[in-house]
This record gives sequence, structure tokens and C-alpha cells, in this order.
Amino acid sequence: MELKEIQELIKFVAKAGVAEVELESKGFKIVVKTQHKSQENTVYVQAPVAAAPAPVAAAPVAAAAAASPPAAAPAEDNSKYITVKAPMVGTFYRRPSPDKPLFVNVGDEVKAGGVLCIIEAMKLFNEIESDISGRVVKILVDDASPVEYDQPLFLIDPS
Amino acid sequence: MSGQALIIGKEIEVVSEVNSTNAYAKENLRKNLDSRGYWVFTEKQLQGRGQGSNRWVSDSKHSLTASFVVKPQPWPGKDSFWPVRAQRLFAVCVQDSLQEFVKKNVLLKWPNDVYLDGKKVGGMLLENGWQNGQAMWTICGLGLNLSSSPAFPTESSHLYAPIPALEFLQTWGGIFAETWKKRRLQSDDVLLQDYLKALWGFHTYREFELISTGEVFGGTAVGVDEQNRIELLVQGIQGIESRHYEIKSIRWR
Repeated sequence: MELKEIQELIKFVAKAGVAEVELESKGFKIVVKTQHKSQENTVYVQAPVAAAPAPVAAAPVAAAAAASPPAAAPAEDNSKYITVKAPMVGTFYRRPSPDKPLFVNVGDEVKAGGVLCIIEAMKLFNEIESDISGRVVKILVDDASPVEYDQPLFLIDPS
Repeated sequence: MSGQALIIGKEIEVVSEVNSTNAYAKENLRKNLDSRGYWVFTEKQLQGRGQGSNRWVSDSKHSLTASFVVKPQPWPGKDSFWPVRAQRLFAVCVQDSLQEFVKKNVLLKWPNDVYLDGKKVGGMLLENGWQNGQAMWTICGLGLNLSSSPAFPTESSHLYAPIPALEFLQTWGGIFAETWKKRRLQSDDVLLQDYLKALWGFHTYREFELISTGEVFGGTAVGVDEQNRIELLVQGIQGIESRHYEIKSIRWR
């Protein structure tokens, strides 16, 4: 999709006053959202989740036009976040040892390469690092819980 | 961390005092991602990680506390899981290289202890760093009681020749590097067979305890699977059964 088409889409959403429009086309998914607080529209462009195991950085584009507040609150949409998954079966730990502080909390800013958790499997300790810089939005697993291969662990907001 | 780092050659870095060689090596990785494939030795480790929540503290120049930093490497044969392969590779290299120095039998107790003539003299701790589902680095930590342990004194008859600790570390580091270079190209099957031969207590009937229930049962350890769980042959109702256990499930008796 061309930049001009994206801009047209933003204008259309702003005029229509809807909370969110999602469009999938030619391997890309585009979500245009209306945000109440900032009175701005934000567009996230990312590859489809199923097609890309590696995270693709979302590219927020602020629209110039102000939007009307939507009638209803938007449904929870996690598509703009990067999901960090377990690369192996094991036990999920949020701190390096019981007497040490947590690696991260919800709301923390993390840098690419920053440690998010440890998965311990048969005395092998695996530090799971953030794939990208961003903010920790959700921690999907409880401390000291077993995790399966490919199980989602964290949602990171790269914007 | 304190103490002046002394670089010996390109492959061994000796630090006089450090909290943990694994942690020190990790800091090195964060500073310079290309510096992989070398040893960090220390004469004094303050906060090494031991069994469970224990600390592996060494305050003797004759203890060996060291970490091998290595980048995950491709290998021929089956596409086995890198951390498991790295653990086996490191373990057999530790056995090969230590056996050069000691008269008594060096064996490994599954999954990460080092035994000398049936007594524990050390342990191994492997850590991996992951990004985008890929292993980016591996640090193999090793702690051995040398002269600080009656089981493995430098001056005792266990060693072929009494040698100073630092000289031992350098010589052993060199032998380990050669062993690693040779063995890293071996196929998964060869490595697995050598790893199984190196394991203490295998192919001998013994008692195990199921940790969750306290039940004691007899069995024979015969192998490890692709997730490094131990395989026991146990007499079941229908005959001999093959059972696989994680380290946290059973206790050796």
C-alpha cells in the first residue's frame, strides 16, 4: 500500500469517527485507531502475525486531522504489540534468583537485548532477551510456572 | 568485581577476584558481542551459583572457577537443540581434559556434576542468551575443588604431577580448547554415545526416589532423551518399562 493510500485511509477514519479500522492487504495488516486522549489517529503497519515469527517494528504515523470521540471504547487490540515467546519447554522465572529483584514489570521500558526472564530447563538457564526496544505491556505467565515451546510470555509495545 | 584483569594469550582471561565468572563473562558479552570463544578464570569467586540456592564460593588459588564463552555453532548430523548439545559437548570436553591430569576416573553425574572416583568434586552451569527465538551466546560455567577439596588436592596422588594452580589452569584451558575444537564437529550420535559413557551410575541397578510422593523404586539408568531427561528401565506390571524423568522429579539414592 502506498503512503498516499494510507493518508487517505487516515482521513477517511477521522471523518467517519469510528474507533478502529483494520485492513489486510498483500501481506500487510494496517490498523488505524482513533485515540480519545491525544485526539490523534495512529496507524500501525505490521506483517501478519502468522507469517512472521521475528518481530517487525510497528511504524506509528500521527495524522494531522483531529478525530471525533468514538461512541464506544475500543476493544482490546494486541496486534500492535510484539509478542515474546518461549523458545523451549521449561520453568519461567521473573528474577535471576529468589533474593534478586524482578527483571521487568508491566510499564517498564526495555531496550533490545534487555533480559525479560529466565527459562530453566534441566539445569540449563536461558535468559530471554527483548527482541526490540519498547514498553512491557503485559506479562502473560506467572513466576515459577511451567511454559511450553512457543508459548507467549510478554507483550512489548515498540511505539 | 575487583582486581586487575590479566589477558593471557587470546583465549584465557584471568581475573584476580570476581563475583561470578559467568556474570563477568556476560558483562563482557554486553560490552563486545564479538568476543566469544574464550575462558574467564578467577582465583577468587565471591558469588558463584551452586546447587539450588547455594553459592559456589572459592577463596583458594587452587580452586578452579571458570567460564567458557562460546557462540552457538552449526554442526553436522541431526539438528539437535543447541543448549542440550552444548551441555553434552561441554561435559565431555571437561571429562576429556581433566582426565589428562588425574589418575583416578573422571565421570559426570547427570546432568551437571563432576565426579572423581564416585565423589563429587565440582559442577557445571550452562547459561544461554536468546533473542528472536535464537540462541545468541552460551556461557559454560565450571567450578572444581582442587586443593581446597580432600577429594582433589593438587599436591595429592590423584594428580599425575603436582603443579601450581595457575599453570594447571592455563595448561588445562589449552587442552580443553583442543578437545572442543575436535569434538564440536562430531555428529550428535557420536557425542551422545560418548556423553552416555561418561555418566556416573549408568547401567547399574539402583534405587531412585520419586520426589513428589517419596516413593522409592528400583531401576537402571540407560540413556538421556532429546530434552536431556534421564531414561530409566523399570520393572512394571507388564514387564520392563522405559520411563523418562526430569531432574526435579527424582532423586538418586
